[in-house]
Amino acid sequence: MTNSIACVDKAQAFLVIGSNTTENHPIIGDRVKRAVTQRGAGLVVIDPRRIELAEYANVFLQVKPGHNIPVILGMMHVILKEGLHAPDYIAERCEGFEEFAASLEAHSPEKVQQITGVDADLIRKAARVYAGAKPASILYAMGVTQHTQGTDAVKCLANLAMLTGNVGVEGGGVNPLRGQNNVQGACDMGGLPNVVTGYQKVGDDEAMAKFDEAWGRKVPREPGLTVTEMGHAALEGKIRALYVMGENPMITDPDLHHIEKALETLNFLVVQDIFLTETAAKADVVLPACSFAEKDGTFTNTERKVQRVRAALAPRGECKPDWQIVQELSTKMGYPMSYAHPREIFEEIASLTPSYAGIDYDRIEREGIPWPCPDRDHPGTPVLHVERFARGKGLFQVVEYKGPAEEADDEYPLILTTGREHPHYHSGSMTRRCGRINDCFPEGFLEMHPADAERLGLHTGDGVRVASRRGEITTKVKVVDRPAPGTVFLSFHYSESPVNVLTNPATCPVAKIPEYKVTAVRVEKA
Amino acid sequence: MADRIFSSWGGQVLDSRQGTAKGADDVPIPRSLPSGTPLLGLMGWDGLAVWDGRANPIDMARAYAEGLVRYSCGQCVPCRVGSKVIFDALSRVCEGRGEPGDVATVERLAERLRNQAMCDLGRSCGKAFSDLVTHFRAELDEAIGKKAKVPRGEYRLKVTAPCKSACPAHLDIPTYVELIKKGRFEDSLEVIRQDNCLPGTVGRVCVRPCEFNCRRQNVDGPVQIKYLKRFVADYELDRNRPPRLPKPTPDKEKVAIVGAGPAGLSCAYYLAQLGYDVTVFEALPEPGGMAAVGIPDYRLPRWILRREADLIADLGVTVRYNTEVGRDVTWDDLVKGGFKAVFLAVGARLGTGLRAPGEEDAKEGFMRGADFLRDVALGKPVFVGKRLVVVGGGNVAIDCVRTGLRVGYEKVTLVYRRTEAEMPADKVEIADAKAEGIEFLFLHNPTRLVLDESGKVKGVELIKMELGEPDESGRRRPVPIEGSEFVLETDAVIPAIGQAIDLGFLPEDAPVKADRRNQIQVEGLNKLAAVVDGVGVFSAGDCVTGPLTLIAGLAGGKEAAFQIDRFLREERTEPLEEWVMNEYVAQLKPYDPAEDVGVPATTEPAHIHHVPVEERIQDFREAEIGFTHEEAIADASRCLRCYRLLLVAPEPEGRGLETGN
Amino acid sequence: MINVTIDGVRVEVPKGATILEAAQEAGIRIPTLCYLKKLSPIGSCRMCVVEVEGCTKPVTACDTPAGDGMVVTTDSEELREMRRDVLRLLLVRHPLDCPVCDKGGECDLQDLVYEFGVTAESYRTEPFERDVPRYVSPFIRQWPDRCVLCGRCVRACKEVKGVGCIQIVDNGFYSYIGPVPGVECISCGECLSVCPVGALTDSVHPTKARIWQAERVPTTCGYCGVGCQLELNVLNGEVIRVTTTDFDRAPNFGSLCVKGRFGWEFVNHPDRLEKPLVRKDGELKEATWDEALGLVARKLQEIKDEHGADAVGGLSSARCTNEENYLFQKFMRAVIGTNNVDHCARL
Repeated sequence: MTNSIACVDKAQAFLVIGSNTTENHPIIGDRVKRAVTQRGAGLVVIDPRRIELAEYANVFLQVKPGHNIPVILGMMHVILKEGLHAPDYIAERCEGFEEFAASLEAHSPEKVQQITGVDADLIRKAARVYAGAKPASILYAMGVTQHTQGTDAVKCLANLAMLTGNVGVEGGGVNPLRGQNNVQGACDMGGLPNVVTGYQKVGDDEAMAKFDEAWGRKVPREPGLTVTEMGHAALEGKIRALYVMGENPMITDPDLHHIEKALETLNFLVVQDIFLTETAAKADVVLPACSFAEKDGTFTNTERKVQRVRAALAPRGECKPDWQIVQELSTKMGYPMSYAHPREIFEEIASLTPSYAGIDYDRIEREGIPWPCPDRDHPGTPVLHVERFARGKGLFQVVEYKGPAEEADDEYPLILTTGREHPHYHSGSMTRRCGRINDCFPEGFLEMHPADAERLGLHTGDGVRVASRRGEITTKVKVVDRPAPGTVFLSFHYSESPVNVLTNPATCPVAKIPEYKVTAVRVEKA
Repeated sequence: MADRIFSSWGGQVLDSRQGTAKGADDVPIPRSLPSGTPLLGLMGWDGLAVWDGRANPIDMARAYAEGLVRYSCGQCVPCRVGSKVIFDALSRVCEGRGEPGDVATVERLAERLRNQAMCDLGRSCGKAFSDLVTHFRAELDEAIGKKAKVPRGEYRLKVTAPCKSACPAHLDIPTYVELIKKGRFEDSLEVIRQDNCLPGTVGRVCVRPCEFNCRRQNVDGPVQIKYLKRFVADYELDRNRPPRLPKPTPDKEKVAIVGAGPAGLSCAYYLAQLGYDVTVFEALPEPGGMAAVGIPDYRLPRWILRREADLIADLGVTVRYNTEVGRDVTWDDLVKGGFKAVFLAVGARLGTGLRAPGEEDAKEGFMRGADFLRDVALGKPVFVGKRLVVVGGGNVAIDCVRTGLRVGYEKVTLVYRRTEAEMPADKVEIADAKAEGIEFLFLHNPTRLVLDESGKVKGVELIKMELGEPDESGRRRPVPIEGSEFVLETDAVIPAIGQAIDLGFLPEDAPVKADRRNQIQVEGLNKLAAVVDGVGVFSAGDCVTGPLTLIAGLAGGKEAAFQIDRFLREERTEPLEEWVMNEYVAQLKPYDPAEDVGVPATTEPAHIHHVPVEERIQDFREAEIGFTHEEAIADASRCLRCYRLLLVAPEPEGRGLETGN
Repeated sequence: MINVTIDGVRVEVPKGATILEAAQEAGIRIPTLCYLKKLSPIGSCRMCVVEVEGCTKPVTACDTPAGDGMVVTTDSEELREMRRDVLRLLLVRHPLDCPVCDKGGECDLQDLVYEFGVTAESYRTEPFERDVPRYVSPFIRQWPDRCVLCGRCVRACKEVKGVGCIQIVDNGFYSYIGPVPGVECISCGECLSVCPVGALTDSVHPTKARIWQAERVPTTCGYCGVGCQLELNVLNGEVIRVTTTDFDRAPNFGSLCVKGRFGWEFVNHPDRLEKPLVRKDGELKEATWDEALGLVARKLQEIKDEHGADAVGGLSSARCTNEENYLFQKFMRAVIGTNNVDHCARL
């Protein structure tokens, strides 16, 4: 997030797009609801489903999956035409505006309506609600990024925020809501093939020299493979061994049949986890790790705040915290590590990572600090790009819409989109093992609009077979008017009906994020 | 205790046992119900009264406490629990099981109620219990000592509040205001809609008698009830919330309604919900009657009214626009066309003249207020010159001057024969008009129109006035100053000094009676004007009362709907019992402008925002901007919830009153 | 700013501040029960009554704005007696079952009754029966008789969570906290966290513990990216519940969702792995750490030697700590010698 969670309380309007905030980030969703219902902040919701926040929205644009970009382009067209943009801000702080402005000419609301079917007047109204109040905040999540044009959609949102002078402003910003407790931290720590900690590029010799020296080994300078690429490489025999720490790709990756084959092709698979997950069951060695309740350390949340995790329990059985397992393995492989406590590891991180340099355990004993925090006296940075953009001037980037990789056709006439439900989490390995939660929410349902259900002769509770070009699963249907006709929804929490058997591994060329949100499917009574 | 008379009402104690009273007291309600059943006593916010020995104050207090238990909202401790402890103690006494401590408990908790309860329900009920213990301690002690049962009476209870009582439609104001305080805006609107089918309309243009009876004004300004109503109505629209209205099936008799003004719409709204098959005949092309074509759009945007009328139509009501009864539809079509009841709500749509020489001969530049506003509203051409004089002091006059400005007059003057203090127009409206640059000429009255040879208005002759003795309305009568006449040059003159009722649609032999001012005569509260071959003809609204307010029209329509329902179900009419109780409450004056409420004056009413004058006079855009959420919640939090409970004791064998709100 | 005198102490507070806030500024405590800083004040319990010079009746401090020059008395025998009566009236219904109540030792009513030395015998009602429907959430048990109707839960549900699924149902003495028809509870437990008494209790774990027996370890929630701060309550080496008692702590200020508050059972789940497993004859069998790690080290080294470092891939975890992710990528880059490290950030 460019802004803090607390900034939600200061926003006068929200654009919530591709984020079912109340279910996936309930605490932020609460704040949005509070701002909207108690404080009267404006709200525009763009989503394929009539999510809860849509009930409170001034304008709800029910888009088909994959249609975010044209709708945002249309909103920006209106903002420019009606003079709702921020010319002083643009002149002072941004560049590339003329070309960008010219590119919007073609995207009149009527044109957008032709492409997307979204009512042109609603697009106008949405533009006015978002641009008519200052500051205005954009909240988005995987509904924006899990598309082959995910990066372009994010650029569009950045353009929109700059156009209205909402970047670097308290209560404004472009705010991706991160789905997992430490996905921000895992990225910050260099759990990515092209960067080490603090997004220092592996190709940057100067930065890497520091690591070469600190680690006593030379860091390779060529970027490595992403998860999806590793899958392909395994099938090609280029990847022989895989070491998985706390991940369950057998549920969470797209096109599971493909992943399963890839894992089976490997010579050696090590999985380190707290449960014998679907992935661990395929491993050659399984290493028992500690849960978050049994270890010390830090998580970095979606607002970049580094917060403490504390061991409340002794490790269960012979379990060890992940850091200790890695340390022992490393030592066994001739690279001794001897950290006595995660605190020492954190000190090493701070010494090598400029954005974490000023953070230590003592400073975050009671409350976390948002990075960048370059030194011990720095209070942290709740809002990014305040005086200037990280790159100097904010760059408007022209975006053209291409459409999703897969469209509905006669054989697969419905578009499936995926997501979460609030009681469950991700692959379900944790919440499905919480007795009370699982008792109350034991099964998933394919959400389908009454019009589609009537056509297919389906009623709530009926068993259905859902098939895509990649595979098929069975589940039960729930007839509800949350999705629009033609769109169906299924969450990915339930290993009984693993939706990722169906999803499309086509990825965004820049971010390599698979297009989970758009899968052409066929639904039949099982 | 045979012929005892006791009263603690009205600030003084009259007690026949003490020889301080012989028959009369200060309780200003009749001593019998409309049916003739005698009333034996009463208990309420100002104390208790016993007019007949058959009424037992201990049992009355027991019933009163039972009412408090029932109506207590359950939030504050003294009222929620205290009321039950009091009720149980009094019940024990009445059942001959009283205990020695019971009187002290009642006395102590009554005091707690009066001083410590959160809202005025508990606070105002406390006095009756205190008065009971103070003046009937011997009777209480005797009942406990002898373990004697107290005979149980039958009572009628009414919950009210000063604002609720002052509102012609008796909206449950404290409840909907409190729901706003709690952020439950849609629930609040649902409460409003029980008694008012045009919340967004009334929330903009009501003359708000509630606010003039709001106890908070004794502290630091009334709760902004009108704008709060507008706020929740706007909330539903802004957030695209589906209106919470029932979906009735029209499976009962057919009813015809003449006029889609406030009274007609309101009547249709209730009849449809009761299951009747309602057809409304409206001469205008759109709904609202005078609210649509008499109130300019800058005060009440037409689309608000249209939407609210559409919601009524969605209940299954058929509205036939551009249908004038007497022209497109005949009287016989109504009374012989299969309708089992007809409701006449034709309002007072005619403008009245100046009653000064010259108006008959004017060919250009003279318009009656109601006609002028209607033509502008319907988009018809009106005469526009440079200077305009409007005569009158009411809201219509203000509407005419502000509309004149908006259609293009450069200089607009309002002429009124008394001073600003006597103007019946809303003070807020007067201030808005002044802000827009309207010139006010007080203590002047037109004596004749000045016309040129072609009949065009050139000016108006005015005479200066001074205030003399008060007239029957209490206002000082304006008296002309002889010889002070002068001519004020102007291009147009609009009298806005009243409206008249148009009964031209009634055939001469129609059995409906009207008085000399064309006001339709109905049987009191029953709204029944005539029965024609079994078809009940009812009427309410301005065509019965003369030009009144929008909210009074809504109330009339609602009352008529319930009478029509009773007529069609029971073939008789009779006022609902709760209306009788409403009358008593009004007579007992629940609002005391002199009361020291005892709350520190540390809040301020929320202020409505206006579109800047230079922008708003350009066209008919809405001039006021509604409250923000925070303003609405803050203002709603100022409500003192002045609920009051009234108990009357009719003679036991008499037909009772139903309880209700 | 306005000047207020509270019990003789002059303080300056911003316009709009309540008498209670002014008293806090002056360092003077006024007893409260329904008041909670993060909720709008409603003044329903009537504990915070104070005397204001010039006002004929006592006013509630929590919801009355202070005025400039206002002179307030917060303590007098009359006020104490009014407060005692509030407590006496509450005890008409509230059972003195503190010995078996989960909130015993951490109960605002218990503390106030103790402070004011009140007994249950002052007022009474006739016996009565009440039928209260099941509570809106299956994770929470409701004890209607213990409820003091302070409305904190109702306000928290509406104001903090924007849900509004509970309300005061029925009138007067028979009121209870019940459902709002048509509004679904999301089982976030906000109501539970603000209840000042034992009227709402956590029903997930069967083990009970007195407040002072369980250790409360503050930590960060392990589910979504919001990073809520919560306390794991631990007894005999097991998590028995999650609480939030610090309402001033960002980012969640004491609020959680159903997962954060009630989704901790997996930690104790019997499916938890407890020993390393090594595949032998096609099946995963328990092994020692030495055996398992030795095998991993050997195999990774072999593949690296035979096919190059880039034949090894590693997935770090959005679930693990920063320190673990750091160490994992360091291991992949420095020890294995490859940049083939990624995790599920994109999922």
